[in-house]
Amino acid sequence: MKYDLLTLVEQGGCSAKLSATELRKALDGLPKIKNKNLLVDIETHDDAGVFKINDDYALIQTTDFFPPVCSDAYDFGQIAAANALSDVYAMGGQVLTALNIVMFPTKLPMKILKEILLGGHDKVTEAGGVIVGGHTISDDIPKYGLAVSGWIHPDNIVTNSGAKPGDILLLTKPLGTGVAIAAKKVQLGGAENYNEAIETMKQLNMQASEIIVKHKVKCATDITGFGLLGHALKLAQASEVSIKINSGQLPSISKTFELIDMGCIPGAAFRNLEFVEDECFFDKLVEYNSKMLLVDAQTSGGLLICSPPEAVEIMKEELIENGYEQTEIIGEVIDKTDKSVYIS
Amino acid sequence: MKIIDVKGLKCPLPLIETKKALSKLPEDESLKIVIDNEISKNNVIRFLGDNGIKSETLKNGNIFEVLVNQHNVDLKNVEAEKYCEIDPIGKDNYIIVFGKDRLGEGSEDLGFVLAGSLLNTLKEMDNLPTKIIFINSGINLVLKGSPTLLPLKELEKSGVELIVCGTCLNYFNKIDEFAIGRISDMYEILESMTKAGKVINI
Repeated sequence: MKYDLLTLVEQGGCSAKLSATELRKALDGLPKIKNKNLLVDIETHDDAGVFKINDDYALIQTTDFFPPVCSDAYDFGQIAAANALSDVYAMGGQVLTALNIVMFPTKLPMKILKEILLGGHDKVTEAGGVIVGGHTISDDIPKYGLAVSGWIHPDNIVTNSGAKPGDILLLTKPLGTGVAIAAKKVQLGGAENYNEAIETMKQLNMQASEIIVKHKVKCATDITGFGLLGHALKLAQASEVSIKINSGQLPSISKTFELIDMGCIPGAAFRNLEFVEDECFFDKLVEYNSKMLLVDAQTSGGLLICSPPEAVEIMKEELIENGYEQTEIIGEVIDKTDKSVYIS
Repeated sequence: MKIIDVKGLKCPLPLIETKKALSKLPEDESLKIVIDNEISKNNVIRFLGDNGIKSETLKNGNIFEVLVNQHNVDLKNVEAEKYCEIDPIGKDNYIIVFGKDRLGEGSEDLGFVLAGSLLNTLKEMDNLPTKIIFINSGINLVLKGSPTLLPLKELEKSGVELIVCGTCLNYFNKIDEFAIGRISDMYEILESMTKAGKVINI
């Protein structure tokens, strides 16, 4: 018998994140950690922590895990791993090792867990890393992810705090994975849309990371549970700049607009909108459907790259050639002004 | 009254069913949506509000009834209006330029009061400008402590872009007092004026 993992969960993938508004209540006022070797800490809400080992090596550490985002166990393993590895790539780093994080119900056959783990193994191998162990506990709803270690030269770290006015924004993957998963749960949208979402979620951000490092990009982030606007907002605040996004240029999975127009909008999108709206300005010509796409929670989304203007065209070309076919120029960085993000 | 029962339906089906029912609803009929999940209820209300549709909610134990009495905001019409605004000669696509901080000639104090009154009245209008631009002493309207900040904030919330001349803020040395809008340059100001269907100069 083939199990559909999606039937086990209410919320999947990065949609399962605690809302950023709520999370802030828990994090505010926690003791601040200071260490001279801690190059990137939690202050700027960056993708991963970076700790300097010596002048040539810095350790990147990150973790991510969530309940199923898709029906098939092997797909789920690959997507959860690609998503966890992505934080290393968003910092411009390379993957070294990973640990499995597993929660699994005793009532399900172990064959399913085996497929999930195989998916994770295959992605970590593709990333050039090794899985060195893990930890498993029993839980009613399966959850899978990785704790990942990577490395980078301390001078080459790509953060979310290095954006400069004049930089051009590139987005490397189509939006709409949250909508696609919600649609699949209620049997809408069709197989093609769902399969497109699965393929983009499985795709590593590894080559994109190599391309931005080659072009000496200083600022990027990966797009996950807080949606494009949530991550753009964090980047703008960390970099002390404002950002303009052109909602007419957003790449999306093929049936996303049709689905949003039907009302297929996951709850996470509304939570994300609440989190960002005070800091965003929406031009009145921005369509409601585009607005909801901008806050759709992504799982294993693409990189949002702040490119110096002179490098943007060549970088876009290289990204498209390397499998990020829907890479688009979606906006620009401007001087810090009243709101953090302007959407037109 | 049309009633749809979305109890027990997984998110986002309640929203999908609501939208479907609204699109088929005759204009003089009201709609009741029966929901048993608080998150879905919040999403539906938020969706209605975002699209300019007023609703009331009754709570009955764990069941929520969302009532829509007035739904004459036809989603299709909203789109049509949007297309008009892209039309460069469309009458709906207009901008306002404040080249000074007051309205009319004569008493300066009265002129300043009238400028505030204009903005307060403007926010009640059906047809809002796409942008308001502030140049020269017009920047006084966007500085901290100005009584015009309140209506401007509401206009901005309704999607009116406020563009402030950066050179002017620097000239008057008021950059620290700048309170609302987006600082920009002559290039964007000129581009906005040339693209607008109509420019109202104050």
